[in-house]
Amino acid sequence: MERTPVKEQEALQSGAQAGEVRAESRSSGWMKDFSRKWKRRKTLLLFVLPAVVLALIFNYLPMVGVLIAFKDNINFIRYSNPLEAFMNATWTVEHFQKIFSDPEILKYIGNTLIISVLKIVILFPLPVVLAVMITEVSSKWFSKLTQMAVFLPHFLSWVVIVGIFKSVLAIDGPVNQVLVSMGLMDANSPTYWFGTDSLFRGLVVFLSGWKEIGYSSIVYVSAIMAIDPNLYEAAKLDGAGKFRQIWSITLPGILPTIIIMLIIRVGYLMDAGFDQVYAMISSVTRNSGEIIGTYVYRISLGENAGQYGLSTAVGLFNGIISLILILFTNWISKKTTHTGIF
Amino acid sequence: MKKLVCKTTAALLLATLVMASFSACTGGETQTDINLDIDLTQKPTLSVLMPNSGYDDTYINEDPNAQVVEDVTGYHVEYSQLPATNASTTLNLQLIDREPYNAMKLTSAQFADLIAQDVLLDLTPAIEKFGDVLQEVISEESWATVTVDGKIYGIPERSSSDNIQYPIVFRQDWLDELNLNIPTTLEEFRTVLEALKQKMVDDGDTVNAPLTFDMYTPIVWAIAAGFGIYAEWQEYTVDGQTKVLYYMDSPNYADYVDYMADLYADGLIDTEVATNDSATAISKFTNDRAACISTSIWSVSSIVNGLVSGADANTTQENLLGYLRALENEDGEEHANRLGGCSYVTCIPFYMAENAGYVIDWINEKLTDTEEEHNFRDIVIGEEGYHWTYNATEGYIPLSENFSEKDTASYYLTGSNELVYTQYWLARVRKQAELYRAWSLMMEDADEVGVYNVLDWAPPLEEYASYRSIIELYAQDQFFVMMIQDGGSSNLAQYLSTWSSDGGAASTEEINAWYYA
Repeated sequence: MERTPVKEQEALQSGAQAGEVRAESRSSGWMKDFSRKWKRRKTLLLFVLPAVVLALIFNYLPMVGVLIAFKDNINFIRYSNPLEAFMNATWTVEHFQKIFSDPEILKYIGNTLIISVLKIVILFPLPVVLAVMITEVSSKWFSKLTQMAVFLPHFLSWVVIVGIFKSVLAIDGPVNQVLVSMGLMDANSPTYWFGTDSLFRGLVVFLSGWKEIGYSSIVYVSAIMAIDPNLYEAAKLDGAGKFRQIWSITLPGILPTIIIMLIIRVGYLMDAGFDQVYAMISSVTRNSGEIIGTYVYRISLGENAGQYGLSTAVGLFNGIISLILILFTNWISKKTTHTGIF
Repeated sequence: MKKLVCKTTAALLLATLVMASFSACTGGETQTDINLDIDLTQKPTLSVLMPNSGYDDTYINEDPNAQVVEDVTGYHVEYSQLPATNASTTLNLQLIDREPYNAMKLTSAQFADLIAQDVLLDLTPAIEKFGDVLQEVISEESWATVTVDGKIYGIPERSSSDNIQYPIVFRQDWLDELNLNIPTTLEEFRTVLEALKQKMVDDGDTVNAPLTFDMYTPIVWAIAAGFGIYAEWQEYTVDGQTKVLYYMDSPNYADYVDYMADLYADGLIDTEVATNDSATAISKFTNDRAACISTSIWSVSSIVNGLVSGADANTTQENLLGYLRALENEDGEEHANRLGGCSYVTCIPFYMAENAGYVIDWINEKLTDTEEEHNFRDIVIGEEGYHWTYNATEGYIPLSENFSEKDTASYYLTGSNELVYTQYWLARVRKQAELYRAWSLMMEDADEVGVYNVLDWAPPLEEYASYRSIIELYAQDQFFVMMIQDGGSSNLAQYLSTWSSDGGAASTEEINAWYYA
């Protein structure tokens, strides 16, 4: 994060010094500035170097691969040298044309965004609530037990979870039987949970919540533990009740954590959870459930495995949208709460 | 300004670094000519890529059947396998890495994909020199499926038997209770379903339906036969013109859809068919939650085990299971979907040309089946007197406990001796008495009744190969949409037009051009 007290001081200092030096000449002032900063910070730079090198190699270098999106399917097998393979393929925009030519593409983008937004709006606050509840429980063993029980589903694969819920929500399964016996459902036409288009998005959100709330709450539990207990003491002395304490101390105390998690989460907006949706979707729920990921998987399915151009094009498209969203959210967050990632 | 200059120089440096690093990885000269002057007595170890077996790598290398192959051929082979999911993607990645596989056993779809990318070795010279047995025992039709422009790119493995294998399996005991026979016409079928539904309701089950199948069933062949649809790609005469069409495109498809939609709306088809996976559908049938199931006969063993706990493999279950092969069409004739073609192709990547001769020799040895060297028979069914016995009337009969060793034998085949495979394979079907009974019923008069998919004997077709998965999945999806959501074929024309523009029209054209050439 940007503005911390120490950095402000340094900024002032170097600003004052630079002011003197700037009087001389621009280029030499810049060089002196740099060497002074270098001397002061070289050990810090050493700490950061490995991460920078990794980011350079695995994140920046591969960006050149984006050009694959503009090439007809490159035959990497025939040519042993990737550059040669690249040169031997023709330039084309057909991949983008293919993505956007499907009239349903807007629907798929819409589905992706709707499911993602629903997940954020409904499922983002819940881990925070759960974390607060867990930390407020007085019995330590109970809160540890709950934490453990609640975060176990995270480790199950989506295929397993969907299998479980398909049995639980089967047309003659336990849930429907209970609802019928309570009179809330017609015995002759029980709900077909996984096959009803209108219920699909809700089911996706519900399953996702069931799986992830526990695991996501861990970050917040640790953030809450880090809050200075003296603040609570002081508040109690001032006569604050439980809810007042939570509202005025706990939540503001973990606000920076919440904001960061939110911005990062928004960066994944375009990924509405491919593994999950792919496991849950069926022919009759494609209307509200087909997301960009499952659509691309469908058109480049199985045997057409050499479709690098198309998948890169989709990746590029997703990446651009995510970038815009992150920049936008970060800007809003800076404007309103003065905290942001960059 | 300085910052901008700094950043742009850094970016340019980065870009040049990248370009340099790419050109630095040169591959050198690749040997793409087959070495025909090899010494067959100096047999190298072969590395072979296999499809996913469901077992781990150590197991497939230590399996006794692998040892049998080594004993009869004299070659030591190291087997590796593709993963269960994303097999084709992994295959592509490994080829990019130039994995030194001497041979690869691939599905025909994977084969077509690699042909399109032009990365397979032309095997013709090696087959001419080292493959005398291959040329004898593999049929013309099979060779046609792997030949492109007169060159042979793989060794085809024809399926063990051209099976008719998608019946509707009924609970014979329930039918007997209601004094009903297996239906033969569309009207009878509906009547039987209604009676079965009534029985289920009387027994207290108001939610489930008599007929079930899983979500991977694009078309229920037994019922579609009643509408003149027998295979995925088949010849039809429309307006005096004969052409090959996909089932979705066929003249009576709308009637089939309407028939199924009516059954669904009346609660005669399981509500959950669109989301059943295969295990769920079978478990519904074995747990009395369905009266009949459209499935492949290969599920019969698990069905028997599900219905009868501790089922004896040597007893048939005539009282429990009945089979409907295909309903009669409007002319009163029965025709059934018959599978043919080559399920696997063994091929060699172009960069492994050097030792291709040894691979052909290896396969040649495997397929040899003469009085002196029964190599193929040893691999498929094992030793006489230990694994099997033979008599003139029944053919090859398995000796139960020992024969289960041979369960994995077909996995190790790379190409089959078509002259004898079917007879040997029958021993495997005989392992489960009910399975053999089902298979025999389905195969009665197979030659008169069976209808092949026109493409079973086609070589790799480029357009079709690239659109195939899209158009098949689309047709499958829209069937469920029409049956469940649309309540019939009202939107069929619209779906067909999407299907055509997604590649259906291009595929149909290419297939017709090939078929009528």
